[in-house]
Amino acid sequence: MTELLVIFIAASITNNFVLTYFLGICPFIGVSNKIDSAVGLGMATTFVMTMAATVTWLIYHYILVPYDLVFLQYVTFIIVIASFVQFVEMFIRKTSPALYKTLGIFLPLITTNCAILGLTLFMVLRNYSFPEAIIFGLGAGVGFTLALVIMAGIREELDFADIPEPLKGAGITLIIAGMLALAFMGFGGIISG
Amino acid sequence: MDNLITASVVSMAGLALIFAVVLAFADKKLKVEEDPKVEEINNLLPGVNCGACGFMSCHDFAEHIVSDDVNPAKCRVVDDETREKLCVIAGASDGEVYPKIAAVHCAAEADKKQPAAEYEGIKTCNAARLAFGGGMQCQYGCMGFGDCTEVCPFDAIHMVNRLPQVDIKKCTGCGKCAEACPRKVIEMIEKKTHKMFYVACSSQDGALRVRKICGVGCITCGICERLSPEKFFKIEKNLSRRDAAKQDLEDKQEEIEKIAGKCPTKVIKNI
Repeated sequence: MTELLVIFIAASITNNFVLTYFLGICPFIGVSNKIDSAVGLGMATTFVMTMAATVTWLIYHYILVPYDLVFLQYVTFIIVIASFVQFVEMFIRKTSPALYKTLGIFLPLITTNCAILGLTLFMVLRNYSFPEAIIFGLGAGVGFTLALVIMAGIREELDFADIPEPLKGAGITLIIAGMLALAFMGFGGIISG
Repeated sequence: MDNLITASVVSMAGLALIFAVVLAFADKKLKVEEDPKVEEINNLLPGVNCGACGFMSCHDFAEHIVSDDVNPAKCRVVDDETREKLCVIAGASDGEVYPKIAAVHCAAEADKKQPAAEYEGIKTCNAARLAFGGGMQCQYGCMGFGDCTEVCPFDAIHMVNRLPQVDIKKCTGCGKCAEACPRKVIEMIEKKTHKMFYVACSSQDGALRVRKICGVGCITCGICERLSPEKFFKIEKNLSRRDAAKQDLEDKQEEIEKIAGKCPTKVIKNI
């Protein structure tokens, strides 16, 4: 049980995918304008990450390894991720057209979010067991949502700040991202792995 | 080896099949009911998402045609036949919307663009603008680096002798070139008659300077204004401008053409 908790905290905070591994920066910058859409995309990504971790673990250990097909892992993982993203897209479109519109292109782009492919590859690399893999996926998703929401919160406040002209827009966003990453480094070394 | 190939093919095909079935099933379950009109209109629209209609995409435009009675003729890209079809589907009356065409308000070809200095910088108009207009004497005219040709999604504007030439057949009037031009030399003109006359110059310099640095600019002699009692042209800020409202009648064409012929620098062009 402690093991699982450690994996969860490691994936979500100390080794946050966005702020320590710098994976998934594209949606991190693109969808962090408003807290609402950040939470929406965070949830969608969390769902895809958890499901992808679960399903890829099963496929990897019950199909790819026994039949010596490990070289197909990238293709397989991408297929799994893409399918889940497709599913999430249909689901959100049905349940919340408003969110579907705000997320726009970033919703299908979850497919190419490197954080998710990174997650599945880490999972294989670190030889996680089945429950560990699920918790790892969930933790990574929660961590991604956390980073996105923190960023969105700061950027909403920024609307009232007096930013020097040349730094407006992407400039200040990247500076904030860097500062957040520095702040998260403070967690470094608490848990390894 | 054969085994490996069979195993890979079978496993990949199997996985793909499973996911396809699941997704197909989900698609049925989660289908969003869409107004069939929207889809019909969307199929007729060009699908280039140029944004000339003022909406984000063709699909967005289609939705607004159905829900908010937006005039389908706002799409400038479709041909006349399709536009009529669109109006029929939408049930909207065909409001008169004329095609727009980009008109280049500068006539200075390469040999007329007199340099004030040598420009060695980045070869785009936008960059040259920062460096005193790319070393050109005229501070109003086309700099000739072709930012407009870069942005045209329809391949309708080309640099010929350092001056943009608009291919009227291809121009859809989306206005991207007008937006890209840092000196606002390009203006979108509504094509209401067979020939539209406009003054191909943007210079607000005085007549002497225009004569000196450019042989083909408007020298504000005022002959166009004087010759037309109905004021097809009007002089403001050292520059003659067409008065769109007064030119839109087909029977005035000959008259304007005559006036255009009288222009000493031949700067009144037509499209």
